Amino acid sequence: MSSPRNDTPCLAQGLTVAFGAQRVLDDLAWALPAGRVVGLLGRNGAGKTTLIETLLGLREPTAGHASLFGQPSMTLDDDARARVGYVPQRSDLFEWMTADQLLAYFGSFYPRWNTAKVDGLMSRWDVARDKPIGRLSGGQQQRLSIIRALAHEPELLVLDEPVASLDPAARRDFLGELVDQVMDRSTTIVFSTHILSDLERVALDVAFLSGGKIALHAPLDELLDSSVRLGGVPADIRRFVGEHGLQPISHDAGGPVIARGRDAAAMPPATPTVSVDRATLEDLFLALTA
Amino acid sequence: MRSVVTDLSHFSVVAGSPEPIYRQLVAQVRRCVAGGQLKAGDELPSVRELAQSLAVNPMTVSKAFGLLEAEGLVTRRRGLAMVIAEQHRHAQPAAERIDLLRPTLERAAQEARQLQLPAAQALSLFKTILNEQEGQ
Amino acid sequence: MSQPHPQSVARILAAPWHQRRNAGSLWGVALVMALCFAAPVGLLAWHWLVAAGRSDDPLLAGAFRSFWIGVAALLVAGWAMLVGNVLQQNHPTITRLVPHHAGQLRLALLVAWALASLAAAALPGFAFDAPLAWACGVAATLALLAACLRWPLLLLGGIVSPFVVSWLTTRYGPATFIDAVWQLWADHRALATGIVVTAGAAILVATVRGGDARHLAAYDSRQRLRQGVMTPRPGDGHVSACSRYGGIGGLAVHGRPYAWWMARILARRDASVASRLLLGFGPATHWVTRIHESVLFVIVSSGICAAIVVLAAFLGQDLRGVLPWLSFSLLTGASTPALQAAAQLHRTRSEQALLVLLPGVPRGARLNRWLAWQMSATFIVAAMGGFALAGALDVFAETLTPGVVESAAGGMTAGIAVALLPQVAWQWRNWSRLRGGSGKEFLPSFAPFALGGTAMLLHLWAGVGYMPIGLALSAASAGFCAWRWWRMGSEPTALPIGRWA
Repeated sequence: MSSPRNDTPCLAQGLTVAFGAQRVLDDLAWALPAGRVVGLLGRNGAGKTTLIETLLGLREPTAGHASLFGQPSMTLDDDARARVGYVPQRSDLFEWMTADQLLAYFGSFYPRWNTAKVDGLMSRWDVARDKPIGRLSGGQQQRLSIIRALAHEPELLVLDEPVASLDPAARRDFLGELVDQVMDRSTTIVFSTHILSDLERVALDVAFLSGGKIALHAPLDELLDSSVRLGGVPADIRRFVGEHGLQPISHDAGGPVIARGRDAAAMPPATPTVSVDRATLEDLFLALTA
Repeated sequence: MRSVVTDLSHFSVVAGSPEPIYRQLVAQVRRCVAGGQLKAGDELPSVRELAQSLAVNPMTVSKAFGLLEAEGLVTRRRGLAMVIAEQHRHAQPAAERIDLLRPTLERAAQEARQLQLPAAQALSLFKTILNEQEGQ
Repeated sequence: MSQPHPQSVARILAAPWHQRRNAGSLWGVALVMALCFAAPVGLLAWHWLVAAGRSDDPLLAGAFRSFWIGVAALLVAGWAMLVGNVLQQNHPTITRLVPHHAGQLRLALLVAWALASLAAAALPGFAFDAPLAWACGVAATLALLAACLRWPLLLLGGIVSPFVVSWLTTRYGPATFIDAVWQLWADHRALATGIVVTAGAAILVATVRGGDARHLAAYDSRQRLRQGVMTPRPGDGHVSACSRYGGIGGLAVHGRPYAWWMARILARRDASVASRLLLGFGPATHWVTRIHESVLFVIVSSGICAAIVVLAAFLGQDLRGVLPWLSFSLLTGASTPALQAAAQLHRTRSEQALLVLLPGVPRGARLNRWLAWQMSATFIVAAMGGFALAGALDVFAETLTPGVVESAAGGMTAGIAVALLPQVAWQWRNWSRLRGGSGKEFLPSFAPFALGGTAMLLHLWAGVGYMPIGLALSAASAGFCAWRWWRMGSEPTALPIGRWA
C-alpha cells in the first residue's frame, strides 16, 4: 500500500481565524514533518481545537491557507481523505447507532478497513458492541472513537484530546497502541492534550500554541536537554544569560526564568548567585504559553 | 552461557522529570551494568517490546540504544537482539560505581541546603533509608 | 420561603429578555410585536386613505378590535415566554441545591400574574367598565395557560374545547350562552373571584417543581423536545441527538425502521453515497422515519375523524363543521419539516464534521445542491401528503354535509394551500451560514401563515383568484430556488452546518 508521500502531511500558511473582532489564530504558519509524532500544547481557549478543525477543512479560515498532503483542506479528494484519521474532542457522536453499526457504516466508505485489528481492539478494550453509543460510558465512547479512526490505517492521524476521559490504565493502553502505529506504518500523528506526561512518552516533537501562532515547534528531547531554569536576582540572571549566550524563553516577569542554550548537552554550571536546573516540560509549557 | 534478559522490570521511566526519557533509559542501563545486574552477553529486549511495555515512542528507545552502543556498553548483532558488550564481565569497581550516584546525591544535597538541614541530619536520614531498603 | 427578595424576583422576571438579548434574537421579538400590531395599523392607514373623517366606518371598528386582539396576543405570548423560561430556570439540580430557589420562582410567577391581572383591570376593565370581571378573566386564562405549559396533556383539552364551545353555542345560541355566563358572574362575584384567586395561585405554585426524581427525567425530555424544534441557544445544555422519543418511556419504536433500512443499505455493496450519507444525519431526519411517523399519524387522524363522525351522528349534525378545521391543521402541520429542518441539522453538526471527512462524500457545490434537493424533496413529499389528506378530509366532509367546507373554514385552507409549496425556498438557504439560536428561526414557521393570510386578504378584498396567486408565488419561489442553485456554485461547503458562523 505504498503511495507517494512526498507532500508534507499538513501545512498551514498565514492561517487566520477570527470570531468577530477576536483573532483566535493570527497568521499562523506550521509544517508537520512526515512520520513524526507531534504534541500540540496550549492553554484552554488558545485555539487548539480551532486549529485542528481548520487544518482538516472543517472550518473556514478568515485568511490564509491550510493543506493536507499537498491538497487544499477545503477540497480534499477521496484519496487524501482515506489517508486521514480524526478523533474529535466529543466522543459521543452517532449515539443512536450501536458500535457494530457505527463501524460497519464507516467501513463502507473506506477502501481499506482492517477488520481484524478492529475486532482485536474491541475485545481487548472491552467495548460493548450491541449497546447504543449513547448508553456507553465516556471512556468506552472515547475508545470506540479511537478505534474508528485507526481502523482504516490512516497516514495522518489527528487527535483532539483523545485521552481526556480515560483512566491511567486505559491511557497506557492507548499510548501503547499508538506506539504500535508508529512502528508499523510510520504514521504522522498530531495530538493535542493537557496531560504532559503522556506527551513526553510518545511525542517526538512538541508545538506550543500561544497568541494565535505556533510559538515554538522543536524536537522534545532537544528542547528538554537544552532548556534550563535559572533562579536568582534578575540582574545576576541577565548577566549570566549574556555570559553563556543563552536565549530567554519566558516572558513572565514573576516566574522563574527559562532559557535555552545552543549546545544541547552541556548545561551551564551554577554560580553562587544563579542556580541552574534543568527545565521540565511543565516549566516550558507555562513559559511558552503565557 | 547466555541468559536472556526478558525482565522488563529493570526499565522504568518517569515522565515529567527534567531528564528526558532517553537519558533515563541510558542511565538505568549504565547503572545495571556497573552494578553487575546486567553482564556481558545478556540480551536487551527489542526496541518494539520495550517501547510497548513502557508506552514510549520507539524512536526514543532506539535513540537510547544508539547512545549505549556509542558508549560501548552494548553491541549490536545483525538480525538478533542487542547484547551487553564483552568487556563488562564483572561489576565495575566500587570507586567507579560510586561516581554514578553523584548526580542523585548532588540533587539531594541541594534540597537539604534549601531546607536548611544540617549535614549530620541529612546523612543519618540517608543511612536509615539504606537500612530500611536492605531489610526489604 | 425566605424573605421575598425584590431584586431576585425582578431578575427572574427579566431573565427571558436577557436570554434573548444575549442570543442576539431581540429583533425576532420586535418582529413578533410588529406582526401583532400590523393589522390595526394597516386598517387605520386604510381608513385614513379611504374614508378619513367618518367615525362610523367599519374599518375603525375593525382596527379597534384588532388592536385589542393584538394586545391579547402579546399578553399571551409574553406570559408563555415567561412561564417557559421559569420552567427552564427550574432545573432539578439547582432546585435541590440552592436554598429557596423554587420559592423564589413561585413568587416571581405570582407577582407577574398579579401584575397582569391588575393591568387587565386597569386598561380594558375600566374601558369596558367591568374591572373585576376582566381581572378575573385574565387571571383565569393565564393560570390555565401556565398549567398547559407545565402539563402539555392539558393541551388535548384545548383541542377538544372548540368542539365543546361550538356544540354549546349551536345548542343554546351564542347570545344566550354569553348572557348565561354573565348572569352567573353577576350573582356570585365574590365566590368566583375567590375561586379564581385560590385555584390560580395553587396552579402557579404547582407549576414549579421541587427537584424530585421525576423532575430530572421530565426536564431532560422537555429539553430534548425543545431542541427538536429550535436550534440550540448559547447556554442550552448539550442534549443528545438521539431519537426524540427516546426519553418518553424509552420508546425506540421509530428507531426500528431506520435500523432496518441501515442494515439493508450496508448489506449492499453498491449502495450509493447519497443514501449512506443520509443515514449519518440520524433517525429523526431520515425519510424512512418520516414515512413511519406519517403512517402512524394518518392512523391516529382517521381514528379521530371516525370518533368525530360517530359523535356527530350521536349528538346532531353540528360537530361536522369541525372537519374542515381538522383538514386545515393537517395542512399546516405538513409545513413542520421546514420549521424543524434547521434545528435537526444543527443537532448533528459534530457528526457532519466526521461525515465530511469520509472519502466519496461530495463537497462544495455538489454537496450544497444535493443537500438542498434532499430537503426540498422531503418537504414537497410531506406537503403533497398534507394536501392529499386535507383534500380527502374535505371531500369526506363535503359528502356528509354539502357546503360545510366553505362555511366553516372559509378560504383559510385554500389560502394556506396556496402559500405552502413556495415554502420550499427555505431549504435553499446558505446552510453554511446558519447561526444557531438567532431570531430568524421564527420566520419559517410564520411564513406560511403570513403568506396565506395575505393571499386570503387579496382574495376577499381585491377579488384576486387563488389560482393566479398560487401561480405567482410558485413562480417567485422557483425563481429564487434557481438563483440559489446557481449561487451555490461558488459558496462554501454546507456541512457541517454553520461552519462559517
